[in-house]
Amino acid sequence: MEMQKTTIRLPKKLLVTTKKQALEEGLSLQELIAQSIRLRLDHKDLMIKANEPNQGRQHATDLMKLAKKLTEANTTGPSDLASNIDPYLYGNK
Amino acid sequence: MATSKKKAIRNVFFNTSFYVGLNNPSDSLHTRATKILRKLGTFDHNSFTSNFVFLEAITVISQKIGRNIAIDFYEKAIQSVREIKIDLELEERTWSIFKSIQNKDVSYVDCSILAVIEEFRIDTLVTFDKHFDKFQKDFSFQLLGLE
Repeated sequence: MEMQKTTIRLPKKLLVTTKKQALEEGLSLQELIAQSIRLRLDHKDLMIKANEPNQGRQHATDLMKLAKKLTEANTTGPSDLASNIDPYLYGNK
Repeated sequence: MATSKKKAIRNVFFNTSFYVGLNNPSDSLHTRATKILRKLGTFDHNSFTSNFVFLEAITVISQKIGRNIAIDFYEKAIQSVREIKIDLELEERTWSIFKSIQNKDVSYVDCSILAVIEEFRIDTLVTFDKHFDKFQKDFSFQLLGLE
């Protein structure tokens, strides 16, 4: 793999803890940072490319069942709640 | 006549107002929430939300509808939605978005949603919050719930 040199700036505190972690794991600072970036990108990629194409449909189905159950149980709350989340949460209502 | 071109719905993010409307059958937006779900149940897509959205939704559902309803909602929802954790990197972007917006009604949590939309290439935001309308162009997403 072709490597390219780059410069990154880290807050002093983060640099100290990163160096400490690299030492504990027996890695160089460069290796630890590269590994962390790779992990983050892989994680993001996995999140975006879902392995289960029906995951969203399943969520819709699960929530529909929940809504049906709540209707049958005659659950009530303020009729303007969803359109006024911030006032209800943070104190104006 | 100008018409807005609808994008394909692939990566969908649910925000607090949607979850709250859905959990409250007496809410004026409850029927709209169930219609959205019926539509989303007909095709393949990915569903996302965030820990910040859950934080708001669970709190408001618990306080205004019922604690057991909030618990039931979280336990059901978490099984089939991808929960994005707002970590240090996303929080830094959230803060930068927050500082760039002058409207006092756009909350920190709203800004975190915009950061996630940008980072995870979310194409559709399900919400009843009107103030997201003006961010559609800059953050390249479409709204479901305000039509």
